[in-house]
Amino acid sequence: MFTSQICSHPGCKSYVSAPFGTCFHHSGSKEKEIILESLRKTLSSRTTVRDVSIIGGDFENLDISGKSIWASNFSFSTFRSCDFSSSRISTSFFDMCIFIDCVFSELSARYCVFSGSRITRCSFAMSTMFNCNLIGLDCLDNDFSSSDLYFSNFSMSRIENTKFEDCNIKRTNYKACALKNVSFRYSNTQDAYFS
Amino acid sequence: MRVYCHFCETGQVNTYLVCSGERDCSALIIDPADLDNELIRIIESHNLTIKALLVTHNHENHVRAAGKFQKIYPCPVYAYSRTISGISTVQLKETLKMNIEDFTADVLHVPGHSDDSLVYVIENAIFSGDTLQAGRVSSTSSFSKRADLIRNISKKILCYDDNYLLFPAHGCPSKIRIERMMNYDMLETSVALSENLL
Repeated sequence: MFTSQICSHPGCKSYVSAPFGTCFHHSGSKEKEIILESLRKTLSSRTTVRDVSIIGGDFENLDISGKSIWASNFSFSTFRSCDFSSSRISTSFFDMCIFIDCVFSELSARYCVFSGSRITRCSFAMSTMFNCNLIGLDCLDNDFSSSDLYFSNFSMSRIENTKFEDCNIKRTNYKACALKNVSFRYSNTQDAYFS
Repeated sequence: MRVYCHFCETGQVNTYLVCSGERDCSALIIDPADLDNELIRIIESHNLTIKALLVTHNHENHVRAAGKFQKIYPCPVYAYSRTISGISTVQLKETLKMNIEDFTADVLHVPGHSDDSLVYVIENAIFSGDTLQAGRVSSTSSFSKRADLIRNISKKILCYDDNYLLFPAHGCPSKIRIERMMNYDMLETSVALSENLL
C-alpha cells in the first residue's frame, strides 16, 4: 500500500509521494519531475506499478495498456487521452479525478475507487469492474457495454449519454442516480439496485 | 502495510489480509469469512505468519472460517464476544489501542448493526465491518438502532481525516472524504435533522 506518511506542507494531510516528504501537489517542480520520470521508467520497464501516490497529477497520452496498478493513489489527478486498455487495477484510488477521452477497454479492476470523478468520452467496453466504488460520478458520453460490473456502486452519480448495454449489473447500485439518455439494453436490470 | 481484499462468495463478505510488509512477515486476518485456495495461496506464497484473527462482529457469514483458520494457522481470535464459533477469544470491550506484533490498532466499539460491532483502525486504514459502508450504513433491526449506528458512525468514524481509507465488510472500499460528501444514508439523516424531522 502507498505510504500513510502525511505531507509536511502546513495544513496538508495528503499522503506523500515517496521518497519525498511532501505530497505530489506540494512537491517542487524538480521533485515532481523525478516522481513522474520514475513512473514513466516503471511503466516502460516493468509490468506492475505499485504503492505509488501521486495526488493532483496531470497526465496526457499516458500508456498504461496491459500494465498492472496495485495499491496506488492518484486522487485529484487529471487523465487526458490515456490508454488503460487491458490493464489490471487493484485496490487503487482514483477518487476526485478527471478522465477525458481515455480508453479503459478490457480493463480488469477490483476494489478500486473512482468516486467523485468526472468521466467524459471514455470507453470501458468489455471491462470487468468488480467491487468498484463509482459513487458520485459525473459520467458523460461513456460506454460500459459488454462489461461485468458485479457489486460495483454508481449511486448518487449523474450519468448522461452512456451505454450499459449487454452488461452484467447483478448487485450493481444505481441508487439516487440522475440518469439521462442511458441505455441498459440486454443488461440484467432486474438484478441491479435502482432505488 | 499491505492490504489484500478477498471476496467470499458465500455471504458476500470481504475478508482482509493485512500484512506488515511484502513477504516473510506477520499478518492479520480481518473477518475470517472464508479460507479458500486463493487466500491460502497468497499466505503461503508470501510466507506470511498469521498473528491474529480480528472479528468485527459475531455474525455467521463473517466468522464462518474461524475454526478452519485455527486449524491451519493457529493464532488468537480478537472479538467483542467471549466466544466465536466455539473458540475462546481475547475479548475487546471498549475503545482502546492494542498492539499485535508489528501492528498497532485502534479498536472502536460501534454498536447498531449488532451490539458487538467493532471497527479496527490500522495505520491509515479503517476496517469498518458492518457499520459504515461505501455510500450507505449497514442494516439494523430497528429505527432506534439505526439512529444509534448513525450517531456512533458520526462520532467515532467520521472524525478521522478525509484521507483515511475505508475497507468495509461488504462492498467496495472508500475514503472518509467520500463518505462525508456522498454517503446517501448519512446525508439523508443530516437533511432530516436540519429540517427537524427526526
